[in-house]
Amino acid sequence: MTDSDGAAERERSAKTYEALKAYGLFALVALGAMALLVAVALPSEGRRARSLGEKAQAVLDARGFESWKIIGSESAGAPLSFGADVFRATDGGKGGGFVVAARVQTIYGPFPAVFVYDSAGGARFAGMMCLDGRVARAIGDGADSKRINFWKSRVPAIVAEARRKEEG
Amino acid sequence: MSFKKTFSCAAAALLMFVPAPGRLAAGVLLALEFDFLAISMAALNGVFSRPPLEDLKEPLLLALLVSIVILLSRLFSLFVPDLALQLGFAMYLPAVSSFLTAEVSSNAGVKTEDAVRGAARVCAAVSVGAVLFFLLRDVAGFGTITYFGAHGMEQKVLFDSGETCALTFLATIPGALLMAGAILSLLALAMKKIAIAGNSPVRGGADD
Repeated sequence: MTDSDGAAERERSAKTYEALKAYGLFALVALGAMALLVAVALPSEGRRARSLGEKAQAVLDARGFESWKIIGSESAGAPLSFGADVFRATDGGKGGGFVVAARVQTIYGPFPAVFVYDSAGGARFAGMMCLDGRVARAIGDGADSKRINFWKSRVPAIVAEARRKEEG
Repeated sequence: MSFKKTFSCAAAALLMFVPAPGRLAAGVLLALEFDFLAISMAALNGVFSRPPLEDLKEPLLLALLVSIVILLSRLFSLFVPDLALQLGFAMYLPAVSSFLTAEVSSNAGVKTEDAVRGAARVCAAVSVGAVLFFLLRDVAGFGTITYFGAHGMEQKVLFDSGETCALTFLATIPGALLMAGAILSLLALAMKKIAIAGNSPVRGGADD
């Protein structure tokens, strides 16, 4: 091997080393970010569900569904999905049911709507979470809202999906 | 960073807030998210511009941006779950405008400190604009004031005559667009005045 071949070989090795260092650092940073994400995502799920359950219960108590009591939560989607939450509930002495908090897009922006659902009465709209005052009255009753009625019709499927995930 | 660039970045960031619900708590959260993302992206841009990572700067920044945004959304869902459920995809929108801000403020040849300073100027304008935008919509549109409490977002009803009024329009998304235009005009005027005052040869007039 001549001197020039050796120099070229050393240059190639140095370039390979630099590239490996760069990609190694890239992988390390990306893996670190993902690990941090998983470390925060998994333990936060229980606390999030409890806190949302309390808010949903407050809506039920304020809107004439006092007999409904939330007793636990079901997983409604992927761990990083925030579209809807499903809670197990009891309806006084009448048996069990579910409470669903789903984000509904309105002309006033997105708001979480709270529904109650049991096999006897079907899905009923309880009220809007995070909303009081005149806008709550404008959209909160939901009796004639097409959007609310659309989500009401989706509630049985959301509950069925959550139950399937919980059992599976 | 020039006035025009600062204003363009601030305008892009403010318009990203239009789909969000017009509540003050949501505005504060989104403005803080934007500030954190824009400043950290501007700083990381400088860090990754050095060897051996300069060729991988863009994918690395994007991967980190996505991770940080998802991480922040998880933290929001942990501490203010009702607001996180309400915001939904709106939580991810500041990422777009913050990346743009970091890219514009970190042009080739600009030192990292200057890039961070430029991003911070945009953040200041966005924060002032966002607080005004969401406060006006919350108070005048919804007739409420929202804030962070021990159990997530809390609200107090300020005005409720029992009927919707003309100001309720400000609570709607079309009202938000109108309001964003008004705030941006005010912001442009204020930034121009500040720039003129900063470039004025007459400084410290009180001492004369």
